[in-house]
Amino acid sequence: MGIRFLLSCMGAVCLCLNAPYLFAQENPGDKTGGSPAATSPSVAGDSGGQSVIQSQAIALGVDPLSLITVVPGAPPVRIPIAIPDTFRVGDAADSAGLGRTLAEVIRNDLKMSGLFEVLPVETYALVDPAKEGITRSTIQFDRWYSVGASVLAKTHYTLANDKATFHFALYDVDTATEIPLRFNARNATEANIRALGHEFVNRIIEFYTGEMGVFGTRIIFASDAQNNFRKIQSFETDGYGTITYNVPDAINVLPEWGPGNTILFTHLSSTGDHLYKYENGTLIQLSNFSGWASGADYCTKNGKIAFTGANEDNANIYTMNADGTDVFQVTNLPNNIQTSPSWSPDCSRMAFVSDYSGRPQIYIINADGTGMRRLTWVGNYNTTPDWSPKGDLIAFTARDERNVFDIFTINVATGEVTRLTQDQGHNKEPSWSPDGRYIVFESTRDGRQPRLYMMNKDGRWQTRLSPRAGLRTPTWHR
Amino acid sequence: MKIQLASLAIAACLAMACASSQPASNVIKDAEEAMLNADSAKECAAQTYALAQKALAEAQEAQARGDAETARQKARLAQTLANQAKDEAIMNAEDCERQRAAALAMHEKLADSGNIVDDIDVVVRGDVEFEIVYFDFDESTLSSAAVKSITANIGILRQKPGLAVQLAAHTDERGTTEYNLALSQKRGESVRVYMTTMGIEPRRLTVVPYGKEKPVALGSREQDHALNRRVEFIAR
Repeated sequence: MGIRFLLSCMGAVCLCLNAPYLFAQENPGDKTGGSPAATSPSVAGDSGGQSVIQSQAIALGVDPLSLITVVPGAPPVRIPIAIPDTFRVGDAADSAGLGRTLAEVIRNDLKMSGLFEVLPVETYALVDPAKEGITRSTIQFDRWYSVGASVLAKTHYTLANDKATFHFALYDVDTATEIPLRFNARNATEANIRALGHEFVNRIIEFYTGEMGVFGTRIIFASDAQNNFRKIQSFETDGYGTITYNVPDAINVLPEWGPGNTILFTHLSSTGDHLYKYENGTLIQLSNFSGWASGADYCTKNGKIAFTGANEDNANIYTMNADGTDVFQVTNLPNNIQTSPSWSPDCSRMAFVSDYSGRPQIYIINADGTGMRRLTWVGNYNTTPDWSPKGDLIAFTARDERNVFDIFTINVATGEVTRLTQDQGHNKEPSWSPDGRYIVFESTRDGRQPRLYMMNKDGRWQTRLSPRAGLRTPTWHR
Repeated sequence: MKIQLASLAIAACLAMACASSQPASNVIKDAEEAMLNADSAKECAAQTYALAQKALAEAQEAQARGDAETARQKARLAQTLANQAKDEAIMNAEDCERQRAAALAMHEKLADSGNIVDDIDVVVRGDVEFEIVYFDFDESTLSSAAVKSITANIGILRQKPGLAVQLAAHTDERGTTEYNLALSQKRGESVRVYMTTMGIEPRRLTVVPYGKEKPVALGSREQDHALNRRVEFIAR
């Protein structure tokens, strides 16, 4: 693919350098007006098949999949993208700094995605921004090619009567073609400007991978407070927009997303450990075990909560409805720990931890309690399984021979184990993104109290989400 | 101190430079995050922390009355001060830990005397002195030392037949949250089962697992871990 990519660039540069605007006219963007159904061959693949937008782009001469296909064994190629500052049309003052915020959000998200190499703004000096607008006829594609960009993301806005209107456009530099994202104009305020940036990025990612991006989605976690208490909070993928849920001052741990707008968490207190549901400011106790209950995992497909419970005996896995009714015991092993259930994407099975072999290992079991089998055979402390929404991998925390905790994945079908973190403090409590492309986790690499980070599912591009310390057990909304 | 002042000045300059373009709500959010991040510095860098708190409150007031420019300036100041408080606390880490330990001891003393009662801290009844039961790393089985402590506690329960106890079970800080909860529960169960076989009525015993969430020793040395792997008897 490397050669193919190079050749297509070479072809494009000739056209771009010699007659970019002529080339642009020969490939008018309005060809997208045809019926999407007629131009969308259904191609099944790892990335979930070709989207309508991609098919339209291919019809225009842009092949998104050729840019991200990875040669087996070779490092993944990141697409070089230029994101110039958001251009303001007219003289009205932008006192809220909406334009600047937008460009920052877009650059940061695309960097975190691991799919793009965001070219540094200083290198854009070759282009004269005063001569460029957002429409194709004004773009100096040959200059952007010289900067090194394969893709150009343009944004501009107008301010009038306290109303800001933003325009978005994405160009394939090699072919001087506008990529049809169907995300053109939006009104913006301080309240929604970040969301607009995230949505633009998510649609760019959709074009190149066939699947919407996940930027701006929320991650919930337990956060250290005074007296060993823990608050339950959530923020967006870039650490902005923190929400603190109004749960009682206590040790509140293991938060999880429940049905609708609800959150589920485990509340530890001298009256016992119980599962609670928080909904619009109201708290409902879900479990009433005489022993304890913890660690809810909610499955949207069957509406069931899987959790750990004990009634004056050892810990086993149970399921129940989201209102706490219809409790069913899934595992029934005496004298051992069974804990941390994680549903498979179709909710027919779950992964969990058992110390049945003497030390904690990851096991799989059918939801009806049949077919229990051991999955991990290496190491003597494998915990916190999280089943990927794609179904193929389970991420987990393992302690290695140096007594360091790190994140690994195991392939459910083959048992192949892959290490994702190493020599960066302790790394624990992984949780998959809704698209199965990223993992959020806690790490002590920047200090004794854990902070939250994300990485690609192969361990690449590890990025800190927020400088805040004392954030634990993240769970991605999916 | 000179260096600190200089860095404060630079940070303030930077703050001024970008003050005009960032949305005030973003700047306030940043400041709030910096405050949360500096939370542990509250006691050791109290003065700077208090100044940061004041600046943040002023920023929020300004934002509420629609004065975005002042809100931004005050929020930037709050953020700078919060970061400085954190740095000060790190520089005075040893003093800080001592002060914190003293504060904790005071809190416990008040709790013992019944002046503080909250959800988590349980008031121990005056004349009952239970022994704490300790465990080996990653273990829930009872060592001979553990059995000795439990036996002493059984003696107390036999003398006071009306007394019920809560077995508050803990692990050290290593490992993952939920497995540690389960491990602490298993420790509590080991103690409970041993006591019932020794003739203590089951209804007098309740296990409450806390996992690694409630350490008594805050360090990361082996002796800290050993103190934290425990089951405490709390009279109810």
